[in-house]
Amino acid sequence: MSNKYYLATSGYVVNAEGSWIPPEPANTDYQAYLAWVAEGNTAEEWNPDAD
Amino acid sequence: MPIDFPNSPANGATFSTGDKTWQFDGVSWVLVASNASIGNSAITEAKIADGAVTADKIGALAVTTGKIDSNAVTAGKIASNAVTEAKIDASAVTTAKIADANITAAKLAATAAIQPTIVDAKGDLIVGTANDTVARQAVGANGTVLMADSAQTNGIAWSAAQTSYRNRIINGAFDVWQRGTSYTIVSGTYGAADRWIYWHNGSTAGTQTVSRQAFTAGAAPVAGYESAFFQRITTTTIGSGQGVIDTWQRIEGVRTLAGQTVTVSFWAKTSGTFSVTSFLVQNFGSGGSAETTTTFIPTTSTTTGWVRYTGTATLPSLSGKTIGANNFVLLIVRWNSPTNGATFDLWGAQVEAGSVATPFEVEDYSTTLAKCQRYYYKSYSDGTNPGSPVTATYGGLVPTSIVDSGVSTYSPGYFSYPVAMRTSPTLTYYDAAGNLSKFSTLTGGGLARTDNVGAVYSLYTSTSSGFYIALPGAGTWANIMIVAAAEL
Repeated sequence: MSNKYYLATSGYVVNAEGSWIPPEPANTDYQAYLAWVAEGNTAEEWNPDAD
Repeated sequence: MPIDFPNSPANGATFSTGDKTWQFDGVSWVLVASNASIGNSAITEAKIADGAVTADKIGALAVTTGKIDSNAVTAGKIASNAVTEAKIDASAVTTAKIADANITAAKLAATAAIQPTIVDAKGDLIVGTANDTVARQAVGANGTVLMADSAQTNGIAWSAAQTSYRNRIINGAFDVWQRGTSYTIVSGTYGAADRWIYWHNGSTAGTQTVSRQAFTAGAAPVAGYESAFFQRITTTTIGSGQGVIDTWQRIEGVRTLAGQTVTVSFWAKTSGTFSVTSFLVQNFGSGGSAETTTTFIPTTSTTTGWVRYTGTATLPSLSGKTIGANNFVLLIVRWNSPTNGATFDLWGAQVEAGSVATPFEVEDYSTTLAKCQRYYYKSYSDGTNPGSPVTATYGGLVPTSIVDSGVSTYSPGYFSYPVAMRTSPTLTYYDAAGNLSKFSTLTGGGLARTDNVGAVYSLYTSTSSGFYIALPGAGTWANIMIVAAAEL
């Protein structure tokens, strides 16, 4: 499971591996993200120029 | 003319002359026969007393079929004990000579015929259970068909019809390997054959790999199957506390086969003597009821040769259950007590309704691939692993093909999946050189390719059918290879 997420303006979540996760409850990666948030974590804003 | 009888005849002696014969009775000669013709009307039934004709007065050769008129013998003229099997010629009895109504159950010995009382209901069948032995096969449920099954007392069983798409397992023949053909197992993850997950217990991972193995032509597990590949798990090193290693598949929808008799089957072989166990787990999804586990194949020894392992049980019904999102039925094929350097081979996994393991359902490659693409898609050519460099200038996405000229800061494009995915998938992208989260640009009249350009501006408006993508810079021609995953 990713240990860091970024939030894009489109609502997508970008994980540490660079995969784009749609805000779709049936997506198991999005469920993992929600579980990560439920643990008290907050995603940073996605910056496409960061790297 | 006088008759010159012999002198001093013995008692019983006969003398014939002309057309007459006499017999000496000790006192005188008595006329006993005459060959003189007898007119057709001379002998009538009224001239023969009831007791005049007895069996001892008729020579053994005296009565032939030619001497008896076809209308002369009626049932009333034959005593009940007069007809015995020895007196009837083998060719004498034909169906034309016996009226249908004359044969009734009462006239047949119990050992000589199958009695109608053997069946009890409409649709019952009479089947052989052994040499010269029959039994009743009760009618099956509506829609079922008879299947030969040597494990049954009657040698047959009612089973679901062998229709197409009866196998609920996808890629049970291990034909499709979109992610790659070798994979070091990370417990609970996908990575090798499509739709299959690998799991092990223990506090440390050890090193186990999954690889695609090719069948030698003509050496597939069972005659009639010529599948190309099978799956091999190699347990290079076993982790601490690791007692099992599993191959899983999540079948979408916990409603699958719920409350039904189900049969699990697969072929397996191992590098030595190990054992295998198989379960189906009903998982009711997030927020749903607690999962239930049903054993289909109890722990069974395996050998170095291919053997088909089968097991039948009933999946619990869904009565009283709460079903949440992402529910599924999980097939577990569990290898027990693996050792360092062992191999565990698997092929032909099938989960189907009914009490019989029907022949493995062979699919064409494109059908299996399309099924797999509901859960995992890559824009790479078949056989090219995700993240590999691609040589083609084009390929992947070319967003400028639908560029919105009114947008000055980025180039949008839309990509459609070939198969509607289970849900909006997680997307990973690479440039043409295989760099993760980068894209390649195509510029100039020759569309010269530049790799490792940068990250996409954004992905958005994603559905299970496709997504929009925005690349930085107006009018950008790009090459992006994508991987979309919507696994359970």
